[in-house]
Amino acid sequence: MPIIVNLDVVLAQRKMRLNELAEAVDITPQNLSILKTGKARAIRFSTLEAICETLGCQPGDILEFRPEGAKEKG
Amino acid sequence: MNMNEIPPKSGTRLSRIKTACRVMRILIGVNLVVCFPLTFAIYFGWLPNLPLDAKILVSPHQLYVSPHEMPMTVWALGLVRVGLGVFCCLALYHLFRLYERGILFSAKNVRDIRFLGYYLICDWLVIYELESLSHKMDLSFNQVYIGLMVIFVAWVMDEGRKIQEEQDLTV
Repeated sequence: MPIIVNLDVVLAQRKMRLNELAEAVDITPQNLSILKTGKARAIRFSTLEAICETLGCQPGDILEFRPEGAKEKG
Repeated sequence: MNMNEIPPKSGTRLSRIKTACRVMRILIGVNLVVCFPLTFAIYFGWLPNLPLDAKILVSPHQLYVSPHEMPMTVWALGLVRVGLGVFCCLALYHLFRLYERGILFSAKNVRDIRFLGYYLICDWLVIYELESLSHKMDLSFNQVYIGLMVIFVAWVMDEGRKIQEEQDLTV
């Protein structure tokens, strides 16, 4: 899928663990892990809002569109 | 409630499904281990005499006392039917094992159910061929209809599974 989830990058920048974020946004760590690993098919606006609010970031920081076959950023 | 949690009532239902499917799986397993080898033994003439007045029913109008009096084509087609029956039982065995493990709607379940549909159609085709050999054709298309319906239901189940998977992967 050309949508890349950069949640792990943002979490590392904020020095926050997945479990802490899960607790803060009231989502199970399993579901957040699905999002982090890129297995998620969709994300609710409410979830995105809660994550952005907790991490103090924009949706674009978490989600990235990368066309199929495009090289990864250096 | 979280989607990963199983409510208590569902847990009871699931354990009931598991128990019932274990019984079914064992019955099919016994059928596979006992009945099919016996049928093959009869077909290959390894059993000298059939017990009592038993006859080999290959198709509704193809009834024989021993495999030696069967024409070669009938014998071969009869064997194909038994073989198809083995595959059908294997699919059912696999399906009930999945249910027993609590896997109710997966791609494997769909594949097994779809296989049962194909089995019904293939079996009907073999019966059709056997009946055409006996020149006493009074076959109904019910088995074909049921086979097609089973394939259709499997397709609906597969689409439902995809929807469910998408919902499960919505965060």
